[in-house]
Amino acid sequence: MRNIILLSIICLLSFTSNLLSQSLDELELRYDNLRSVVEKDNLILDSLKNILENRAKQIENEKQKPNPDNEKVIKLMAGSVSLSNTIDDHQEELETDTKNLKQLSEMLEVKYSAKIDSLKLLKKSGKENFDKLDGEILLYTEKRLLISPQVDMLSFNPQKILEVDLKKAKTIEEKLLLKEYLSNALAEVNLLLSDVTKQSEEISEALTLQRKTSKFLTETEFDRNVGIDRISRSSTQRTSLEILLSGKDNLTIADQINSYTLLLDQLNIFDKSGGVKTNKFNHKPGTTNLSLKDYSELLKEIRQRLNDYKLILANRIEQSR
Amino acid sequence: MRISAAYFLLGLIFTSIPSSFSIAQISWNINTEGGFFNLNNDGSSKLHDLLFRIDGNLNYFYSDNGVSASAKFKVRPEFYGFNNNFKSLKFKASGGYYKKEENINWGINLTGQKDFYQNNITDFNYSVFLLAVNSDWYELLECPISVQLGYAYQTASEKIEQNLDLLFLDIEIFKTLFPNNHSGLGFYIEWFTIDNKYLSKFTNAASKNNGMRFGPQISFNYLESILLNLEYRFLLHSSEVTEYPSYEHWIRLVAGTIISERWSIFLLADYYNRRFTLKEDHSVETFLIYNPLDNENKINIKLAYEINDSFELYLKAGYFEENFFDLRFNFDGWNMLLGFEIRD
Repeated sequence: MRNIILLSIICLLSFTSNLLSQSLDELELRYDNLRSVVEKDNLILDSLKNILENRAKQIENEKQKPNPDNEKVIKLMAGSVSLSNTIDDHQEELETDTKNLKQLSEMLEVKYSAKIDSLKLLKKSGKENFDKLDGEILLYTEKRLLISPQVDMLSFNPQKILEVDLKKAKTIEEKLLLKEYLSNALAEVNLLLSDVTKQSEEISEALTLQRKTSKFLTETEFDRNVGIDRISRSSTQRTSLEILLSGKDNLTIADQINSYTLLLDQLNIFDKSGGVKTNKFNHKPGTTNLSLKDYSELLKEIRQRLNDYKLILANRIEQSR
Repeated sequence: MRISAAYFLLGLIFTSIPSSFSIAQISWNINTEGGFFNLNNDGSSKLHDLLFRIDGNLNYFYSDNGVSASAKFKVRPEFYGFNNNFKSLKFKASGGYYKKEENINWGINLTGQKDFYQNNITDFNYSVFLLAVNSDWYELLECPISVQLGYAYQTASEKIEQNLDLLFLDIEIFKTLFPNNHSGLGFYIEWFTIDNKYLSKFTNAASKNNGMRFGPQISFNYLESILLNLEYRFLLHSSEVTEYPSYEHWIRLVAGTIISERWSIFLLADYYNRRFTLKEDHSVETFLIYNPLDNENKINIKLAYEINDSFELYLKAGYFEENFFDLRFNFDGWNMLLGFEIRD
């Protein structure tokens, strides 16, 4: 028994150390492989679903005939059952792979962020070549963006933007066109960034006010004695997100919440298995199940992502000069 | 015995709080303040002297994937004047666990407090324990609903020796009436038992009083560049020693604003008024009237100046008026304190 426990501990330790010691290259390779598997799985699943849908239509059509061919219907239904099972298996497989892919992307994001931070520190120390460091920072920022979920809300495709290389433009006209495309994208990012920054600052100020008021209440109530019904309730703690999202630009609360739901959905920072689910907004005023603090953190994430795009775009435009 | 069990439970919750420090935050702050206080005891005696206190707080907060847990410890020694030699020591510990689900958030909170008061002639202590389970429902109706169920008791030693046990249910539904507003309408009900050991020791009179308080409550919140919170409760009071009509009102106003980058100001005002009619106008029964120790009228103001992220200076002023036992024993007072806070 003792040996089994010892063996288990050794296995666990070796697995953990293996996980920790995985190099960036290995992780990137695993991520790329798994991403292609997920893409392939998605395609297979889509076609299987299409076949199933067609079968269902066929069954429906056969049944609606004046003299339906029951044997055919039974055959089609039997086929549909096995197809449905195959879809379930693929679906399960896809879910596992997607989950693993997400874990890998999170690990990579941590590694890229750490790399960017250490490069920035190195740059601050002034010991290394600035241009070389800038290039590396840019490279890892690009890599971090590529593994991040896409921002579909923007009118341009951020992934495509990363592929644009003005140096490869064959003609001056093409170069100008690409430059204009990048400039417009930068203007769009700037506009969105300023809006998100404004919201983030407003929420941050409200959170500070809420925290300070709550602290004042706690210390004042401790001045005297404990009130039983007073400890049990504190309305200042209950203020929710919708308070902050109302009354701006003559929009109704529902519109405000919807517009932010859209932003959250499209930035898709938290995936379906993540902590914050955007469907909690549910497009209904007054039913927001997201605290101001959560929302503030989310806006900070969006700011970070937009700042990354801004850096890349500014760099691409700079290269053209 | 109940107190020991309560603190054991509190300890159990604290030890079971997640110990991963990767997503946990520990914060602390120490406040030191001094100034003057003035106390009028039932119109018969007056006391004014210096007041000095230290307030220490240690907070632990953990949050991950929709789950949050917290533990808070608070200690406050207070010294009221040099001649009077009146001093107090207060301890408070609280712990909470909160879980966010898709359409419902729920949590459990535990709070325990122990106060010791002492001077040349008296030695008094006071304990409170509260266990509350709360939940916020987002999809039950059109508006969010907050429900809280709790059990609490307080014990007071020395001559009063009065224990109070209570079970409460607090329901409130929230709605946004206009931009930046969050208003609530609800119902509060509480069942209580008062047990006065002093009466049972020295008189033949009944030493227990069972009763209930119930009634509507409303709240109004506004949060933009200022925070405004107004709460009102009207509770009908029914017990073995009181008769109809007995009722109470409680109004609370909380306001706060950040005036500039460094200056902020806060206000708390409580107004409590009760009209109890006793079944028998006998002085012994007044010791069985529902009387939590802090149902007082008070107003407090704090003006703070933040020097940097970890240092704050402030000025506090407060007035209170407390009525005990069928309004026959009252005292009121005010204080003005200058203090500073150091935090991490």
